[in-house]
Amino acid sequence: MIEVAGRLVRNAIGLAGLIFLALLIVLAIAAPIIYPGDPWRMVGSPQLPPLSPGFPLGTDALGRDVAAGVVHGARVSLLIGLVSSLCAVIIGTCLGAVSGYFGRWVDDLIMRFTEFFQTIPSFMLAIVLVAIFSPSIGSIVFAIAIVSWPPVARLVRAEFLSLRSRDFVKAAVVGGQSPLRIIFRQILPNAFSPIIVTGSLMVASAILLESALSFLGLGDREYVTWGFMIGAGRTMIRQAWWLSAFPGIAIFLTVLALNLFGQGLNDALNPRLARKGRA
Amino acid sequence: MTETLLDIRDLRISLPAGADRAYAVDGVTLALRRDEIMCIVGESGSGKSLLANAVMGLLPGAVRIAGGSIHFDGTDLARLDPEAYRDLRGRRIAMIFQEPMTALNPIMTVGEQIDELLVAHGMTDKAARKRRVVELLAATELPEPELLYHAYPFRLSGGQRQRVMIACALALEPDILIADEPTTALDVTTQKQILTLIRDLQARRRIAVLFITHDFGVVAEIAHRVAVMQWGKVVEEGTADAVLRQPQHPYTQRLVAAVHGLSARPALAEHAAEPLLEVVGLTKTFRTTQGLFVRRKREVHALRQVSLTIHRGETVGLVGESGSGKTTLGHAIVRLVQTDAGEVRFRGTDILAQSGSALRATRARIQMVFQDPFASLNPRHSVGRILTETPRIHGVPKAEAEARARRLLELVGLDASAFGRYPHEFSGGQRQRIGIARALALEPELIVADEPVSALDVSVQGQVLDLLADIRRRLGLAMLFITHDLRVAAQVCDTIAVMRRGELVEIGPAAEVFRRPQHEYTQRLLASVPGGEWADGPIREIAGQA
Repeated sequence: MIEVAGRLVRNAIGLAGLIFLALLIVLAIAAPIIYPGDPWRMVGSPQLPPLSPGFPLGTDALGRDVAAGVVHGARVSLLIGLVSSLCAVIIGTCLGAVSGYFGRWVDDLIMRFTEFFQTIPSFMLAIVLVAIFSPSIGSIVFAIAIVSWPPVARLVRAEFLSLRSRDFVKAAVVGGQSPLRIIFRQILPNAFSPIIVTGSLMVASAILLESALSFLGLGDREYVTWGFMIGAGRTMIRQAWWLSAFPGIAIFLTVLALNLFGQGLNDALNPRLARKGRA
Repeated sequence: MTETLLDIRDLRISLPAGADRAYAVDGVTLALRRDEIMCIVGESGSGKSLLANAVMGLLPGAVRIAGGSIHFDGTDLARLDPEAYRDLRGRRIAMIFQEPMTALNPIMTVGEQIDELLVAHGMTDKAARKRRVVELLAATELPEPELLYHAYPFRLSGGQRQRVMIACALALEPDILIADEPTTALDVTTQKQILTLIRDLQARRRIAVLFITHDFGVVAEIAHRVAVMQWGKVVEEGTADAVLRQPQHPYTQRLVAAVHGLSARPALAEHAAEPLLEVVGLTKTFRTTQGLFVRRKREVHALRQVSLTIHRGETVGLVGESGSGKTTLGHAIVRLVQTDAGEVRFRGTDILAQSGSALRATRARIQMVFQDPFASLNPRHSVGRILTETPRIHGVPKAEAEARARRLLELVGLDASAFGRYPHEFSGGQRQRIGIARALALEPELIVADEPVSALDVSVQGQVLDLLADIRRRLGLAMLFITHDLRVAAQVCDTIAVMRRGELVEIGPAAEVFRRPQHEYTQRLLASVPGGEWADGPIREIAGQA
């Protein structure tokens, strides 16, 4: 593990992503210290442009600090992005692995189940789920995880189908290893790279999905989110561009950093590539 | 002196920076004359294929010609513009490749593919083209060329596809045919036919053939002249007779000595009379169902009533061509496939009925060595983990498993430092040693070795076979040795079992089977071994001593 971390640090692209994400996480954790109090509070004159004294990113129509909103929004966006992707990756990996490893009727059953979810437009399903369970952080995470796992399951299944027939898997069977052990100790590490890359991309799309839900007013009203800020600023985009632009930039940079980090991690996890890079 | 068609002078092909050597081909001078078959022999990485590709102007991007010249019939190929080169390829110099299964376009009929070639080189008359295609298919001795014209490649066997490839290559009456390991992917009996075909066509059409191979048996079958390559240099060149009978260079001597004849080696030791493993009436049929609603079934009888006994300390060679069911039998014994009927008794107990902990205990007694050393080791696990993982599952404490793994590494001739390294840091031969060590880690009594050396170079093959023989002797192991290569089987096996289409057609002591094969199929197999007469004859003795 230390070795992988070392390789990740040596990888320039992955390092850039990692540093940005680390900054973002620090910012999110430190949000109550940097901007104490409720970000919904009105603190200044309305519609101040960016770089106004005391308000580096300006204020909105009700005099709320945009910078405070962006920083506090990072908490919710990151939390929802990470937790829902983690759930989706776990569900997708387990179903895909079982499906690909055992094949036959198990595979048929799981794949038909997966297709059931894939045939429903995912955003529609997310809206319906959030509407049914009433908007809250928990229901949003649940909805995003439910609509995001099918691609992971398909991917993991495909990886397992090809890896299952490799000789090293046969050697493990002949060595008396249990199917569960083979799935998790032998095959899964070999399928990590694509799973991790998809996972990091999925964090990005989960953040976008959450933003879209908030934009439509289906976010958790307790918290400021980037999507809500864009949605609220949308009507004034010509008079006060900064209201939507800054949260938008925040989403863009976060998604980019996640992608870079995912790519770097993928390279670092591959021992073959890592050794070559070092030579 | 016949005319020189291809004149390669001091050719150097440079590899991109970071490769294991600077030049893939380093100062090669060769001349190919009309009316001769020249074999270039070498092991993988010797630069023989790049040499052929350089002649065709098909070098991959990062690889360049760094010096020397290739003259074809007086033209300097390096100075040729792409347009002229394209015209030369196919019309004057043609090439056939190793893998006939992928060389044909699956969605075009056989006739269309050859026809396309004729169109590309300017034959406009449709009826004439059709006549020509049928004529070519007939020339390569394909059955019913008229009907074959409209057949799709998937209907053809590997040998037939290679014949179609040859027909394509000969379509424009080239002067030179370059063949890059054209028979390596084929079964021995098919290989024999294709070699005969190439030799006949060469003589009849008076062309020159540059034949690339790693197999001295094939050289003995087909070559007029031989050039032996090692690390990009031609180390020896001469007539086939001279090189095969009196190899001068030590490397050639080593390669020639590594080719074994079919005379079985003397039995190592008398194996015990008590049977270790008995296979009784084993039957397996693979059924493929197509689609969810269409219940159309295809059946392949992989095993039909196969019975076989392996005694303690005995090595049984299971030989046969691809699709004969030999791998299925091996997999059935280690319980990798479920069988339909029959029994596999290991020390008297039927292991096919076992499950749970009883099966786990049996698995420790029967281990397997796999064919492809690149696929058989988990790339994400260190060698140490590969060797200790299974013993730990079977309850060996960590420290002891590690100590045992280090002893095993030593036993298979690897350095103890290999313990912490990953599989990709090893060569094919070394990986196969790790695979053997893994199989031995559980201290089994029977090893099923599925083509353990067929992915390796000849000289490495010899080392791995010696290792297997040594381990057998030291540990008193029994072995089921699955191979398509009769020469390899002759080297290691006490007993030979011959399989064809799921049936065991002949079984007997190795010396007996090789000297007096009973079944017609065994006789045909033996006759097809390339260079059989050369490898077995008195000549061999001289070569072996040199």
